[in-house]
Amino acid sequence: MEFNCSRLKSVLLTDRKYAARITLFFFIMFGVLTACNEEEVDIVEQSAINKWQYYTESHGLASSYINTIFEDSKGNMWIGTDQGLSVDGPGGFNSYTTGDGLLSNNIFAIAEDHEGNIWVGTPNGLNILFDGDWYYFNYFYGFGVYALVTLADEKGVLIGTGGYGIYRYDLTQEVFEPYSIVSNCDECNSINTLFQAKDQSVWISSFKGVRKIKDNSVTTIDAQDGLPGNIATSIAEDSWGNIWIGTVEGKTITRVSGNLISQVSFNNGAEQNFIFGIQEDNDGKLWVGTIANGLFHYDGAIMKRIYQGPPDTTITALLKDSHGNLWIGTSGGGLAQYVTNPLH
Amino acid sequence: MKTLLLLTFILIPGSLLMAQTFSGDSILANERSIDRPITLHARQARITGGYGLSIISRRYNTEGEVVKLRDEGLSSIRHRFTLDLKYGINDFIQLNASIASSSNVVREQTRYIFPIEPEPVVMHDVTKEYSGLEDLYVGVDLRAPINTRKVDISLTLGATLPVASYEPKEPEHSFEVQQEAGMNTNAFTYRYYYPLGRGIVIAQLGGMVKYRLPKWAFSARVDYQHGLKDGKSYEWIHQLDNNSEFEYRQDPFTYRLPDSFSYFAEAEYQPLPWFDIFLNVSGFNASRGWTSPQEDLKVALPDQSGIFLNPGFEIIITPRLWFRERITFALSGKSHEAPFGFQTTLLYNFFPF
Repeated sequence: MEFNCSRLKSVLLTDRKYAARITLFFFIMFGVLTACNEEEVDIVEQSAINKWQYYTESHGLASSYINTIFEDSKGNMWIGTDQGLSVDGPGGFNSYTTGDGLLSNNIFAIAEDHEGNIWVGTPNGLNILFDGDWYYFNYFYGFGVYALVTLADEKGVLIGTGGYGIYRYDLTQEVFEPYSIVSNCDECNSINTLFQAKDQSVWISSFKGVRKIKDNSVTTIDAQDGLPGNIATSIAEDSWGNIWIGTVEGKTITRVSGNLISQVSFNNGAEQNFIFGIQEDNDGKLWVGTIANGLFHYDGAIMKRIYQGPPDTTITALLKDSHGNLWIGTSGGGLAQYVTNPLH
Repeated sequence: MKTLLLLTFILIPGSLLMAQTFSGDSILANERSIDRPITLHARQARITGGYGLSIISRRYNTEGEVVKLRDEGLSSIRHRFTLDLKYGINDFIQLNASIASSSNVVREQTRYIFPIEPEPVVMHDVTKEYSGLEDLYVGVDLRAPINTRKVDISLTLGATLPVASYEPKEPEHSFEVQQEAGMNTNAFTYRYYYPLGRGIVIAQLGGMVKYRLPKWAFSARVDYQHGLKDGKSYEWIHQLDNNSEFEYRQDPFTYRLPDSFSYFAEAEYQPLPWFDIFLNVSGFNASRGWTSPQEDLKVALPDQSGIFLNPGFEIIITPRLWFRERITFALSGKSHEAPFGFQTTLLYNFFPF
């Protein structure tokens, strides 16, 4: 049967039932498209990421001289300065000082135990924030505490001291006990950093190289093994499982990959790059802070200095928070945040 | 008896169908480009094969300013082959399927010099290869049964199906220390492979109108594309190990393709029955896409747009075989390349049944 075009046309144009259906069809299509176009509120613009933000005393920081940065399990940022301890909160930073019970205003180490209490290491001893009040441990009264780390397997908190080695606080027994003390070696017992890697090994940087403790066996890495110098200041782990070690001496940063040790040059010609912070970012790139020589970025091939952004050339602390933002502490320039996630 | 009945049921409607058929070639022979209906004739099939060459030496940035890729050493060529099949079920319903394959390699070389270092030169040679099959488009065009020569209207419903690979192949990087003018050069060669599939089904809704005069035809078309769900893929992360070998891992991410609105307007002039010239202005806007490298963060993809001028001509070689040539000039855009290109197309028409 031949298709009758003119008949169909007359039906379409004259019968109001069809007109109503066509109108309804277009309304439905409009509704579908509108629903598809519904705005999502949690999407950030590209222009809002990879930006720098700065915090100084005017934002409530106790000082612009930052010693250490720590994020607790609730996402609060704790900033240890030379004039007290600051923690971010609504409306800016709130600060604690000796007036609140701290043993010193010079804060060098911060940690959180498994019960959510904040531990703070100072040149005068060890404080703990318990139920909103500051207490100190008599055990360390008068001793410099420069490094703290909470062990992931709930075996306690390690306390690194200036010249007296490392102690462990047993959370179940509630006692301190020696963890790693090297006899007749003050430099070995002067602890700069404590770090626990993903494989549960504990890495210790001291004035006499680095020690790795795993399953009761101790491995020592110092200048004889390939470190640029013996004063190790920083330790970090990247997402590949490499351990990165920063030292005071030398022109390089050290990578430990399994049993292999290699060096990455700063390419800046400096005879000494005093490394004071190492942190991998969300893109797998390494950020390295130095004293006086600025902040560097290593993409796996080239170490490049970042000139725009850091508020000071002396970088004293680096930390990536749980949302991927990088926090950079400086000596005199305050705190900087490299924002990769502006929602947090 | 059963066989006879079966043959009766098959042959009688078949013979009726044949009785309705007409000589397809005679229709095609007497139909100029401007006279063609938007959809094919009943039982007409068309195979269209095309080759496009694009020279990509400019790009529009997010502000719509022209960036000269040539100055940055990033110019490239894209080759694109297309295959399109159409079939007219009747004079008002047409089925479409199309697929394409393309290839584009972008190479960037950077040399870093650190004069005070013992190994003063670092060379980065980055090659990004965007190539492979694209996704398959299937759709149906519904032509309004308006019995007038002057106006033709159609509605398109379609979908792009994720048949092509969309997850990137493992990169092939290498590192070697080379001697250059007595100095050590650390040479890094990075080679990335990006497939062209998009990983999800994309729905398409469109419409077209054509208006004819004795020697002119004007047509316009709009299409809206929307991904039906969010996609998942990964990017390759690498590191150079202590043996100077690269090792790789996959970092997953989720993404939402931008909604895309594309359009064109075209004027055709038919000076000779077998020769037609046209001027086409096409464009697109794509927005609302995002990528999520981590669970609590979605980063908006930059809005993209482009407007292109496409003059061209068509020659009817035989009633069945047509040749079409088109040139593309980029007029404006945002966050998109600005190609200069040629598109050569052969169209073969026949009535298979």
